[in-house]
Amino acid sequence: MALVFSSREFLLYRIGTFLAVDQPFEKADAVVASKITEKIAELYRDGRCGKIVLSVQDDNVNWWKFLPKSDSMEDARGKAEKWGIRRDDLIVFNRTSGIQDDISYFNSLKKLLRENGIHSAVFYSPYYKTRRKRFYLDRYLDGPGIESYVVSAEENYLQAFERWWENTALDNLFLDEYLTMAFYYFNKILWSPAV
Amino acid sequence: MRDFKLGMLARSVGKKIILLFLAYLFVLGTHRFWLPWFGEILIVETPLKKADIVVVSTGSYVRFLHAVDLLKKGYSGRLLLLGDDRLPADPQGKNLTHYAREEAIGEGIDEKNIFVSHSTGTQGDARAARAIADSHGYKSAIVVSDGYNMRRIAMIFGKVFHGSPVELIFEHGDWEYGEYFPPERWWQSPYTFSYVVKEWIKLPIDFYFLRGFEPA
Repeated sequence: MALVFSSREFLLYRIGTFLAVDQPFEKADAVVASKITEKIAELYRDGRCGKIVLSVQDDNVNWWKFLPKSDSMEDARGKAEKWGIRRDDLIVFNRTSGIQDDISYFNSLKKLLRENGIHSAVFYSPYYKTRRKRFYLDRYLDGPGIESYVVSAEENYLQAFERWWENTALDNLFLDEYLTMAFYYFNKILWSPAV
Repeated sequence: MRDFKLGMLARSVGKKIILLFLAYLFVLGTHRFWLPWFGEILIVETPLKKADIVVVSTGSYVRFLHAVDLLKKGYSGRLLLLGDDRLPADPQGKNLTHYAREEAIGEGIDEKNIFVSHSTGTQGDARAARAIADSHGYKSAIVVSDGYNMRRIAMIFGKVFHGSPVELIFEHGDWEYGEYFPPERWWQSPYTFSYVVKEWIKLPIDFYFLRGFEPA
């Protein structure tokens, strides 16, 4: 008990950093992301990924009217061309925000990847969501014929974990991530149809 | 002698395993009857009526939508928007209260009747609401939040407004927007599961920290 108390800051730091996953990769059939960044466009131009799967938000979901949304399908296609991405290499995937449902998202995505002959994909995600992404990919996407890598969308994210427990905004975000993974086990134990 | 002791230990462990397994079967067979309670008990409602001001945190869009809807239906003419300024919602650094204010004005609410306050949590929300109510002499406030948040909101607002003449009305409207799963299956949505469990974590913590609280 005394040992735990004396090393509490180290333990808390590790609880935070556990949420970050960053997997190295050489090449993949596709990159999956919610927006195209310079980093992703560079991967495409360097030939390290053949296609880009862009998940865009459905216009019909409940969302702040004046807050800039992620691009619509046509906006996304227009922007992709400016980044030097050919239309045929861009796959726009419609996702709905609102109720977060990783399971239905990955099941739909799996179908899309198979239909487009994609056997390996790199998933870009906010740094604190990468563990959850890896967790659900392992359970709902990975399998014969599909290999996945999870990469943080931010580069210098480690400093965000410094004394994260003193920031109530980060407390909530990180707790959410752990609870979303606990949801899976909770429902598995109860043989719930949700998982 | 040793064999006898080992045998007793094995029997004891075996009994515990069987008991655990029976307990698990019991939970498996009956959870649909008692697990909803953990969601239902978090929901607090008071009869809706007109009030001097509607108070809402911009932590979720649907609660904001419901708050604006109440104003449009004439339940109040004033709106207090609460949010965390530390969290920018866009690359320009604007936060959700900024966008909420813009949208409220766009929905026809007079900007003179919109108050905005920074707050980092529910206690901060309650204090800000009390400060506004006291300074303007308001006698009633509708506090809008998500269904599962209401038990904690009522506890904290009740404590912070203790001794105040302000009548508090607690209102939620999220079911109609389909944002969360209802109590009978709250654990079957990752979002609702996370929300309910967090409320159960925060309830005793907030209760503990409110023990010695005295309103100013």
